[in-house]
Amino acid sequence: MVSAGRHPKKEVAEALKRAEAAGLTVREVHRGHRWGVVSCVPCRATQAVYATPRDPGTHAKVIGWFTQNRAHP
Amino acid sequence: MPVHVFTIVLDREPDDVEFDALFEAAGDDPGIGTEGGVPIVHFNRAASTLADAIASAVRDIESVGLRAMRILDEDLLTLADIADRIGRSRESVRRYATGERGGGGFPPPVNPQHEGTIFYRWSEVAPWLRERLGMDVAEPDRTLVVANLMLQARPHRTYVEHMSALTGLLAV
Repeated sequence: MVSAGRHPKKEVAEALKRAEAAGLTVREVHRGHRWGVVSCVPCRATQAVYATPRDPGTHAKVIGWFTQNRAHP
Repeated sequence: MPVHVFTIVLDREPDDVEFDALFEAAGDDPGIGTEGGVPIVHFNRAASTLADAIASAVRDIESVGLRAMRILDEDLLTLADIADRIGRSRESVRRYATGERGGGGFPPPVNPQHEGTIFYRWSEVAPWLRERLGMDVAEPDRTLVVANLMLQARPHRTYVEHMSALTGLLAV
């Protein structure tokens, strides 16, 4: 697995680092618009990460909400 | 324009083609994923009203061949869930429901005939708690409630003889 810090958009990369620090799994996919996926195995929850989001700040916020909503930090 | 935040449950997980098509159709980075293994799309959508935001999101989803099943909400609750939400004991809430406290008129359960878990709608219980007990509980968002009922009615409408007799009730 490649480090989540390598996402080209800084805000998204930072959100992914926080997700990993919270115990979530970040996996790179690189398929179509998808850069990767954040997942919480106990919750059976996933969140797609875009390679080139239109609004990186909002995309980073969505990843942040996804991280905060997990009952299994 | 205000940004409205909501989550729509899909009929199935998008394949790669549908995933990219939805990203392009939506134009606002829809949060495609799963919750409890159920496929969902999380929206932060700018629109003049929440109803407009939901309608345009549903159209985006369905333009790529997926189906919007419902809006994710926490409207169906047990008495224990209601007790947790309002910080009262389960026994107190049971007495509200039976009419032993609160003066009666507690909203009826969704499935009263069921022998297992009984569910109530928070969108009905919250106004009762405000009006009868003066509790400062958050007002449920009626737009979400109606949007959900609309989405859930759609798959069945073609099976209903004289559907307009029922949709006409919305005007009563």
